[in-house]
Amino acid sequence: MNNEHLCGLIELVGAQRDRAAFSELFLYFGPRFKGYAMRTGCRDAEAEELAQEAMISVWRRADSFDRLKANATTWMFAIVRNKRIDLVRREKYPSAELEEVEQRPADTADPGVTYDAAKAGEVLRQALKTLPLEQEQVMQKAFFEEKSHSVIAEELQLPLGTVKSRIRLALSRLRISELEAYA
Amino acid sequence: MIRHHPPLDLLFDYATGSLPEAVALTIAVHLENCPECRKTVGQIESVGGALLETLPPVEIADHSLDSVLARLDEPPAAQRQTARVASVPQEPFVPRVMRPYLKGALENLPWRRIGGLFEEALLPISGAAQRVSIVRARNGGFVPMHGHGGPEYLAVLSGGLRSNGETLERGDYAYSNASDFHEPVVDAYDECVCLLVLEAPLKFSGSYGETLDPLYQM
Repeated sequence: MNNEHLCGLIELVGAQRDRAAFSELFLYFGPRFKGYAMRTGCRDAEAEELAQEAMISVWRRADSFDRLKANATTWMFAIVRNKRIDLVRREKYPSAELEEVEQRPADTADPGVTYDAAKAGEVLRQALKTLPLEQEQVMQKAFFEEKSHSVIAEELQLPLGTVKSRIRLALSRLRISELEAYA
Repeated sequence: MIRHHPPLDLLFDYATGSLPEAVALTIAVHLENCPECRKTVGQIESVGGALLETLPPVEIADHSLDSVLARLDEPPAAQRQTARVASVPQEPFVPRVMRPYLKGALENLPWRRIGGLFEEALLPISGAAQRVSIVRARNGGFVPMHGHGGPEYLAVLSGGLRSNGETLERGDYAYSNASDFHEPVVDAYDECVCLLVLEAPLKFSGSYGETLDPLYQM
């Protein structure tokens, strides 16, 4: 499903409480949320619960989604990340980015650069496949094992500086700084 | 204008969900006022989004969608708390993400005066191993020279302070660790209010050590 379509679904949920749109989102993201949950160590029942609770979060927060600020999967990631922390760590994860959009000071978007979310997403997915092993390893530990830089360094018995540079290299390989330039 | 930001690795750890709640709070407070860092965090979250799509999807139970649809009209448990929090008149500079952590108005927190130099109110975060507080000082106030046993995270909420030659103002962020020493001073503003999170005790220099060290154990 492309980003355009997914954004449209989230907006329908947010603006009109559209259950058909929500169901479509559920059928697409539910199994992906569950996959994420299991990859972070949840067993089947727990992962199932996490996926459901995250989708309920989607229903509740859809009216604050802004397709100009993030693509659909980015927003979904933030939702499921916070729900994982809520259910598994039993902690809140304060998130400015999921707050009501209109309450925040205006983002200074560069009018000369349009963010093509679809293209950026595809570039990212391709680039992920080409990460060198040691960069992939630290990214996996960060995203799926909720390990901070210092925890990764300790676990892999590496200097903190090495972990920092592997992550920065991975981010630049993923063209993070160049995503904005795709138009 | 915000000139001091969290280091990239801290923003990264925040975006991947790897920070403890108290530390994440300091980042969220900064993000609420910093579009630049919000953009950076968004870019890292987009990696999370791409990972979400490259992971093999796992089949959801048949009845799941129906049981979720049945629950959509439930009011969230947090709604009552949010309503209560929203009804408390609060200083405008208190970030929205911070409001649920304050039991009442900022003014009514259990402020403790520290020797006429500054005031502090502890902010309990359930389950947190970190020491979380709001610190405020008037013009002429300062926090005496001290070193750190571990990481310190500071978000300036209002006013400004000067530390090691740098001026930090509302929206600015300062990360310090065990190799850092400083004596933040409020000399260019009427008042400065900050959110402070410590992961280890502070060690005050000279005669202040005796009186202040005990207050900054964990």
